[in-house]
Amino acid sequence: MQPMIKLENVTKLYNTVLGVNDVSVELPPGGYGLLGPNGAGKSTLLNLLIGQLSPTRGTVTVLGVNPRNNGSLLGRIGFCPAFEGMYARVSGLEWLTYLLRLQDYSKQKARIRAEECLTQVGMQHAMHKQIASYSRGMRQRTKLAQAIAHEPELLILDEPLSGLDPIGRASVNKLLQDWIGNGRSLLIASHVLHEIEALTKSFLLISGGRLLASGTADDVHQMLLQVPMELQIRCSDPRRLAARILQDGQAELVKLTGNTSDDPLTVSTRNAADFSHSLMKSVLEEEISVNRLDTSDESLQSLFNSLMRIHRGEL
Amino acid sequence: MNKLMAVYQYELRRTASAGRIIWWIALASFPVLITLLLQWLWTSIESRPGGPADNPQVIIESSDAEGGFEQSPGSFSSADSPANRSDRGRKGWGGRDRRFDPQEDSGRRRPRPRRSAPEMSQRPTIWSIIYFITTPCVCCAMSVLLTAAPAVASELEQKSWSYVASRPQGILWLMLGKFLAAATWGITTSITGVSVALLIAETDMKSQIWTTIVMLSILSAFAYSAIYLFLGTLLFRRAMVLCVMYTAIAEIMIGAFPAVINRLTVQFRLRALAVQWAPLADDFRENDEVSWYFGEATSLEHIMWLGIMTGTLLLAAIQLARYREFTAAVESDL
Repeated sequence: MQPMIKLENVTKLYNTVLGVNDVSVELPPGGYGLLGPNGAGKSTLLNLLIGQLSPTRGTVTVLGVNPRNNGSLLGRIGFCPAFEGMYARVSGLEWLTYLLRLQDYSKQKARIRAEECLTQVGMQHAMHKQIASYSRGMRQRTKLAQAIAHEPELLILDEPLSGLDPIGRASVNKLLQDWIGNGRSLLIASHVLHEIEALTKSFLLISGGRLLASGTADDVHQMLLQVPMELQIRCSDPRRLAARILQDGQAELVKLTGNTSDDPLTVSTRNAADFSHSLMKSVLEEEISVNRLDTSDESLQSLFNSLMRIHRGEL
Repeated sequence: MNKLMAVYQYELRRTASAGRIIWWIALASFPVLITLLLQWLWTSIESRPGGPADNPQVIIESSDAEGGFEQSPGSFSSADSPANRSDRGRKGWGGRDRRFDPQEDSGRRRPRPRRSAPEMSQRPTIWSIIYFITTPCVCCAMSVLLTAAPAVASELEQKSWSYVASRPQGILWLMLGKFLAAATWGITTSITGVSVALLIAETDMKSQIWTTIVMLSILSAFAYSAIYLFLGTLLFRRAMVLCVMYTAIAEIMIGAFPAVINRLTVQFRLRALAVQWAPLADDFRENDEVSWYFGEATSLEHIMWLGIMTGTLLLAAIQLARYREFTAAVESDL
């Protein structure tokens, strides 16, 4: 099967700043989430895929062709950028009709299709109003409507759920789930893991312009389990507790900054479950009172930080 | 064509803001105001006690050692024979007229010459020159400047570029649509301005003046649209500054140089066409300096030059926009 997206050693430099760094990946048709913290290079990667940027090095292939200035390909792709960038003084219907006419729809057909799409995203009551009067959520839905209106094969969305209220988020999620369910392809970029988890089980993790990992949600969680977990313990006798933890051998790293109850004891472990049992036992036996226990959460940022450290060979 | 019309109609609809319409009215009013001012000035001169209407006098051309007479309002003249016209032409058109003053001949200090309104036969020349300067050169060029120069910058600033650029050949149609929209703004401003102005102006040959100015405005609008669109694409962050500098340095200064380089400017071509088409006095048109300045090129050659210039710059602007990486993500990502 022809890959939907194929990137071979793709690097994008903005003068001396690295946007995307040596990314190679091959994705068959389907739904994918592109995850990364802000400034990770997600938008650069998406712009390379729609041909608005050309790679400094490497090759980009989308639906079998080079996307740069490729008119025929652009008719098969729907793109929703992260920024709003809509003309304020026209109505949503006018704007969508205009963009559909650029997809070679006749004036009449474009208007009918624009009305259908705006209705589909829940904008039927506001489509005749000026875009300037729209809320952020309404603008997001209008943007989504322009991306799906010409019924593309591949939908590329950059942060499409930001600014949506829970109801709007649910309706957009439903629309995108149906999109994938109908056998169409989707690449959705976000920095929030659970937003994408609701839509697809396949992820690409990007940070610092590098593709750190790709795979399913299970793969990601497996990675999270393998990534050392960091805990901060504030207790009555941190020095004694540190010695006990080292003696038990459950920790990868123990860091002590002082010996008062205010000084946290930082512990890094790969096996959180075993360590918690061992910690309870040690605390009871040593009669140390624990005032506070903080664990680093399983947020995407900590995963990225850990993956970056693995990538650099620090872990 | 559907795509071009889509962009064109949308651009006209989008750019028709209150601010833009005020600018449009202000620019279209420019030739009208100049006309009103001159009409009022000439009327006041003519109706002044002791003015030409009350006191007909003979006028002698100042540089006329060989003897050439020109008629002041209500006065007798024997100078307007074709032979004398061409003779004057060689010496220079528009020699300053002086009233006949017997004191001058007797060697006494001559009083300051009295101003007079131009006679009706001179007015088509005067109005043609005035409308050429005010309409295709100022109204039209300014109107186009305000629309075409920020065409790319406005799309990038409000980040709407991506939506059009991600459509099949979207950039091509966007640039062509913006070019046509800018030219339309320029042409409508000019036609409105000159039409209203000519309704007020007291002159003969109104239809010939109107036709000339409208034709020149159309050529001016397309040529300047292409130039400003190209400059706006080349340096979109400083588009207006660059376009104003280009207009001042290239079109106004270099365009006025009596050298080969001025042939590269739109102004030169428009002036040459104006001389050929406008109902100017024969002695102006046949003047040696005028003939030398504008050369031997025909109207068709000038139009072809403008067409080639417009087409080349428009193509360059489109190619530049297609191959430059205009995306808001570039800046927001870093």
